[in-house]
Amino acid sequence: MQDLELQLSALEELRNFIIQLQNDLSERLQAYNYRVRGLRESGLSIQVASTYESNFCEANNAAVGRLIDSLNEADLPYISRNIERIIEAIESSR
Amino acid sequence: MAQDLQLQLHAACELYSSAYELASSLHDSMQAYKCRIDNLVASGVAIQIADSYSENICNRNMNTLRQIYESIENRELPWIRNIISKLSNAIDQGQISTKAESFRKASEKVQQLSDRLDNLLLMKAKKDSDGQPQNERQYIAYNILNNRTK
Repeated sequence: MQDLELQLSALEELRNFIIQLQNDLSERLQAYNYRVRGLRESGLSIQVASTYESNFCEANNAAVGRLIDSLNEADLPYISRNIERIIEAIESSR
Repeated sequence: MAQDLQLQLHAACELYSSAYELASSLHDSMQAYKCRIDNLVASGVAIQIADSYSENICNRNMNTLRQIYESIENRELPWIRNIISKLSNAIDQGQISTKAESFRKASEKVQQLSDRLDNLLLMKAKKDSDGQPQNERQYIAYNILNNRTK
């Protein structure tokens, strides 16, 4: 019983950590995009800016986006499923 | 032109900094995520749940993170460094040209002043043509004038 509650607590902490990680990644990506967008106005030549955006910036956005989606679609459901199972186990053992 | 290159260089350095910070923050996230997963069992999660999570989900995320990080490190940052290098060289070349042009203008100015001074001395020597020259430069002018009038 105590073991199940410890597992529940650990998984809830892990869920919070994953949610925080998602938010951090999203914020970092936004900050990166904001800075890159501002560089044309700061004097970066159109040619360099366009090449960078199409060769690197879009790829970075797609990859970090995939990672955020994966945390949302794989990590969190897996953790939530196990949290539910443990809650059921705790309730049935009472 | 030089100012435009300086602006481009500054912006390229900013771009480098943005990409570097993204890579650095992703690296930190990767480390924190890995550390968390490695300590799942120690924190109380059942071994079966932790292993399945680690093998099926965590490894895939770690690979994605690593790919982004390595792409920035190995492709993106060298590309930006190359842009910075080209801009720096162009600015250096421009400064050399600017210095040569400044030197040429300064030489012209000195020549103009020298010619003007000669003319003034010639005029003075003409006025004092019956007198004796007062210094070496005036003496030269005096002789030039005398030669012209002969």
